[in-house]
Amino acid sequence: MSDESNKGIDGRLLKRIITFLLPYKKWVAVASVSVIVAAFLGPLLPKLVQITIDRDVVSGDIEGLQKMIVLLVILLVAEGLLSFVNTYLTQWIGQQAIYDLRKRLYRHIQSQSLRFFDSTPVGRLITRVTSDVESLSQVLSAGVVTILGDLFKIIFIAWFMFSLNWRLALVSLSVLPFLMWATFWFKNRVRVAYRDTRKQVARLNSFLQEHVTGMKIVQLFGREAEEKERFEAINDDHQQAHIKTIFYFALFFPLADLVSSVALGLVIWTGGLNAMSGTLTLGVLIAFIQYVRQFFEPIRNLSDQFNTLQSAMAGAERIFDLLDKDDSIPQSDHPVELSDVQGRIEFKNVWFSYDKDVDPADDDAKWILRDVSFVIEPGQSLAIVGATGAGKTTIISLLLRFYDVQRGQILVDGISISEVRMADLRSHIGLVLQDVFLFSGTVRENISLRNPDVSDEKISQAARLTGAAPFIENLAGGYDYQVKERGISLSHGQRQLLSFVRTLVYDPKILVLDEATSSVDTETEEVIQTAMETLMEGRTTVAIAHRLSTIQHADKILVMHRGMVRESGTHQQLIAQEGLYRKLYELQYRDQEVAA
Amino acid sequence: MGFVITMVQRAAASMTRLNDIFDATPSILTTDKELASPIKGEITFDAVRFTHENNDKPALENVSFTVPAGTTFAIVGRTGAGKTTLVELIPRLLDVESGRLLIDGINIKDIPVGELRRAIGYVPQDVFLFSETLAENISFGQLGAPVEKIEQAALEADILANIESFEKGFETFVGERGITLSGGQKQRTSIARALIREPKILILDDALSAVDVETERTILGHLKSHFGKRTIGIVSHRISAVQDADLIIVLDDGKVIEQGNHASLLEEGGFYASLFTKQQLEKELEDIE
Repeated sequence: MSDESNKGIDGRLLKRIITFLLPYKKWVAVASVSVIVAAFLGPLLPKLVQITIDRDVVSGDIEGLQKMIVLLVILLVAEGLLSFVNTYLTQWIGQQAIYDLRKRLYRHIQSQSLRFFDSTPVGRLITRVTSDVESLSQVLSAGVVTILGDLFKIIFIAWFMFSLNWRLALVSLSVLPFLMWATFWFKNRVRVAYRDTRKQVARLNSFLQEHVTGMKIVQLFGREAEEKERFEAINDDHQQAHIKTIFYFALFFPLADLVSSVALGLVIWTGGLNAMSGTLTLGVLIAFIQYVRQFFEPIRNLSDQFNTLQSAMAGAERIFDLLDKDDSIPQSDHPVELSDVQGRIEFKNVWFSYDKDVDPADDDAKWILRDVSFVIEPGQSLAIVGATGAGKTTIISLLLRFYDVQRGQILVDGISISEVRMADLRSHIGLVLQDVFLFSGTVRENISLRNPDVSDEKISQAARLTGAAPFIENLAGGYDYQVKERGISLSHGQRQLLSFVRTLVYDPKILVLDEATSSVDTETEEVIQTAMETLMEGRTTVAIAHRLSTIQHADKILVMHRGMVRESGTHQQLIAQEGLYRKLYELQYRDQEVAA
Repeated sequence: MGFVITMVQRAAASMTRLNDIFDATPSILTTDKELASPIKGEITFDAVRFTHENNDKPALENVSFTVPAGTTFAIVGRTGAGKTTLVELIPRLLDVESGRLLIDGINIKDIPVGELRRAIGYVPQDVFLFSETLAENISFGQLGAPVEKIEQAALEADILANIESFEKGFETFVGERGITLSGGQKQRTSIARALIREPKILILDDALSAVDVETERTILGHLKSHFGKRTIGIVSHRISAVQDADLIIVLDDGKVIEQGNHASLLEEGGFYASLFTKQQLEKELEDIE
């Protein structure tokens, strides 16, 4: 947070920010023109007042006076309209650009591989998409156009003043150097004070965050009183920093007012003397009084704009850093369409490491999978077994292409999955995970995933087939039952069943199962058992097996150990081998035999 | 004017939320009674029952056992069996629902909470360290502890060598501003923080899960050196961490299903025995290259 104050305005960064306005360049042009016109209309009014007084009032031309008043009214209305257009248009453009930027960020995040999420904290991503984008919105909306308007306003006012009376113009601008200096001094002080305040806010936040999260520790160790004192100290610092900022503001605004009043005084004094001596008309003097008031406003605005621009830069930089970090799975340039799938899966000498910088040729690197090969024929089932960390979950992550392999190939129906369109690949694979992810919404929505192609009949049919129908119909509202907070109101077994229905509705050719380890009651177990059999029928199945029945019914069992395939065969064959599988069986599955 | 009304409305909404917090009453009440003598460390659970909020099923039911002062007890059981809930009752992070929990024969609710917690060194399952220096984190257990005591605690928690290997030693910052400690290092720091209190009752809630068996043995060895002076409670999944305990309690679904020592429980041939066999097998599997 503290780095932003040291940065100036980086031209390269600004250019990149501006590119987000390019799609709306027509509207930006319209807004710019309207802002410039408005910048001209403002200073035009005193000029017209001057003409009215010097020409019509002095000579007593009532008709001329009336005409001028009508003209002034029209101009005022026009200025009001332009101001409306400016505000609306600039904000509209800004919101469009922000919308695009946020969309682009989201899409970027969505396209990343799991590797990216392994290394990027969720909180950071959320900050980028929300508050960092928000900080940019100031610049993208009002920022650029307003700066333009203010610059032109200053130029126009100066031009009018000098063209009316250059001596008086010099007199009114004589305070400018002092005002510049005061603004500069103020800006520096406030920047430091702001930085300090932000630092104190951050301290306060992190203290609170830690001490609320760690409240258990604070209470256990009886440190309530001491921590309260520390909190008070931080709270005090925070208050001091805030008050200091306010002090500068309280000082600056009256000071700026004072300066412009001095300018006004000078104008009235010299202008008044000149008017008395007849070298200046009354109209010019009145116009100058208004110009002096008008002149200082855009100057003050500009210094404000500069501040927002600066803090937006810091946000922009973080956003662009994220956009430039790409860990997405590369898509093939000419992806093979996979409209129909038989379901043959082959792993061919697959080597994989979560470390993306691993040297593919180095056999001794930290491989999670080493030289894994196996084939599953269409409609057959494979059960993967092994101790924790043997590489079971990695195999299914690779099959779904959450990561790319470093060596070897994974083939579906004989085609390497890196050549297949990703969406096609995943649409043919149904994934049922241990932790069933349910989102807030109805049961129906949780099954159809809000896909309009999934009809209600299809849902209830799938629910019947999996045996989930009775429990769903018993819920309050049946299929319209509201699932709350990831489904805490449902039992583990019920959540499992819902995920089976969800999978069946999409009718995938390949089924990938990560079976739950936690035990459910016997009755639910039976329902799940039947549901699984329905689900596996006619589909190629890859299962990380935790159920005895799954491994017993599997066409082939793959025994993984330390990232390698150690044994494979049917349950009977492997038991007879008296090897690793035998031990694993004793360890993980034997109990279920007793229980069943 | 409209602006002011909006502001007032917003402030009113915020105030309502603030009041919700202010109005929440503390659920753990302390007592005015004073203790006749300092806590020695005998712990008795007498038909204790506890149900978590928003839960129909009790997390603990009819739990009874007695741990004499200065001995070691251990709790094993599946995930969700109620192990953490059981030990959280001892420093009154939670209050028993029915039944009694006695320390030195006194009902825990008649002991001032501050007094009770001062006598307890607690190492929670989810390690929490503050973003401060290692010295500050360890001396959190005892404010203003001298350097020697901090070092002694670090030594007993087997983290001293690690800390000394850091460039800034005990002044190393933990967390975002400093180094990222490994899970095991965090656990050991958290153990040191409890040990520095020289507590009468020490509770390790699965506090050795992220350290290897070798380190576990070292730390348990150090704890044994205080034998007889300190009641120690160990929650663990690992037989190796609990097998030397004087009393092992096996929890399942909130109920005590077995209790005894290592030898007697093995003989019994129940849950504990099968857990032991499994872990032996696991070790064998691990040793296969």
